Amino acid sequence: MVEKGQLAHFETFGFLVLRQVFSPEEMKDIIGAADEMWETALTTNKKSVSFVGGEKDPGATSFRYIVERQPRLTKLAEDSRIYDVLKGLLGSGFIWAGSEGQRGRVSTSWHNDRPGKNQNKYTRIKVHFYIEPTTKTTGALRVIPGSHRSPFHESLEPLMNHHIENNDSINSDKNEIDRVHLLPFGEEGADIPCFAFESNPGDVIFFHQNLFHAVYGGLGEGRRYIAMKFAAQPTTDEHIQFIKAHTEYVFHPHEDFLNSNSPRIRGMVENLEALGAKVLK
Amino acid sequence: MLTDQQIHQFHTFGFLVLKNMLKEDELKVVNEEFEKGYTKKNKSELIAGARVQLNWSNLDHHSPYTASLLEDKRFYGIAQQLWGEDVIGTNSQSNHYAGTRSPWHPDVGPNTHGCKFTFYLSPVDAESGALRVIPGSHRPEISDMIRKIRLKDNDPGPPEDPGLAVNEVPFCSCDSQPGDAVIFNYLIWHASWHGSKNRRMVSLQYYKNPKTPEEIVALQAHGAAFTKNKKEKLTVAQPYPDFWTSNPENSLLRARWIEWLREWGFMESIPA
Repeated sequence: MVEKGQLAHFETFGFLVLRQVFSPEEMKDIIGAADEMWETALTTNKKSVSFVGGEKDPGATSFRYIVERQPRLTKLAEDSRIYDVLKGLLGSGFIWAGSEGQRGRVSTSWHNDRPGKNQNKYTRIKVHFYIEPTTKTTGALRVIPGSHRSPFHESLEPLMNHHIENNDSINSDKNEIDRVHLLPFGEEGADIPCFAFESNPGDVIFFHQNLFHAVYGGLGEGRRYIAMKFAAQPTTDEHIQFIKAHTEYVFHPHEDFLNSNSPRIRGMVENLEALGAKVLK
Repeated sequence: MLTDQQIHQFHTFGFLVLKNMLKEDELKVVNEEFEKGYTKKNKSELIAGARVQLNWSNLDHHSPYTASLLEDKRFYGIAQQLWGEDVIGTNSQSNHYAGTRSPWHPDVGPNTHGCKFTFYLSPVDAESGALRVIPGSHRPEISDMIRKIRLKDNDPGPPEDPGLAVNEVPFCSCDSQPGDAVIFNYLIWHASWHGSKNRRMVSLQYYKNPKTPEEIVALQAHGAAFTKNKKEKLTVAQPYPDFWTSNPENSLLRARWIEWLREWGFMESIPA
């Protein structure tokens, strides 16, 4: 369940932090399961891995379907400590929108995950589990509280343009004057006002995917997290188009989820193919 | 003066931290004048509660240099950039805090615009009393939502759900060194956490000259509340001492400000 104050916090600031949701013993198992999947992926199943760090972080990898493929991680998606919170934030009938495991990415410039007009009116949530302790300067997720809300959200879009055009940071070959003029607020990304979600293993953050977020000063090889994504039940054609625009794969859920014995897991995916077919028409 | 990007940043996020705005020799004088004001201050006028705060006007004979900063173009010029050529310098205060925290609050209600420069006289960070702000919370779409969140210091709930403590609200810390200035929009939600029992801060305050009907109504209400608070001793006992209002150097700028302060109810009528 979600307390009234927690819901107000999420609606106001665009995120909710729950501390020590999982015990050290549980985290040990989660980390072990994730490590097994990463090692397997990097040695025998390279197609499941994307290199996401560009020239800056060439070793940074993102492992798709990490939660769907590993039963010890799948149970996170139906765990009441996560599921009930999502039900409170997204309402009944929320859907599964994928998972990823990331490691090695040192920095990510300011962005929101679902850019586009009115995208912030359709709530999609990402849940992050950090595997190492993080601080503001060592890999913590930075967020701009309330930045999912219009018109504050739109006023920050220059940060997003910068993210797209420069793919991580201002080009270092620009001279200083040009560099400064490319920065929308005159500050490097690391100096943009924000709140840093400093965390320990076992902490969980739920954030609205239109919230502006970034990471500066990662742990290099050591920075790892598991993410699960969810969306409110799509009720309009616009919602379906929004899903298609950013995450078309949602309409093709992993077979292990479609065939799951868990009513909660199946409930999050079983009608999605039909929605996808509607889009394909 | 501010760059266009800094102005954009101020209006987007509601605050700026400006480094090294006061030089070392200026800081020495400001510290000395603060000490004189603190010594002179009637300690029975303590504002109780979490802040344990004493404050007093710097526009008095014990602090002529600090008083002069209100008309200093380094600050007044920035206020003009933010709020227009006809911006009003309304006050300069010293504040002594001995409490553990300042609860979350904006300084004014909707449609009242202006900014405060704050100078902390010792180094401060998030865990030692630095100003904490919620970036963007001067904007109605954020501020209105914050009012719906239960805050433990402002509107405590039952023991099982008392609301968020100061340190449980997401914030950006305006860490500063002596000489740095933090400028913030009066409407931004701000607070502080921890800090020494001898935390010292000097402020300069500026208001936008109201233009729209909404701004005019809001400032009239603010002026009325100011007078009421003064009568009930909830604010600085004598915010406009004769030292400043007598305007001995016949500053045209100050004369205009004094006229404005009278007009809007911040200053009692002064005999000609």
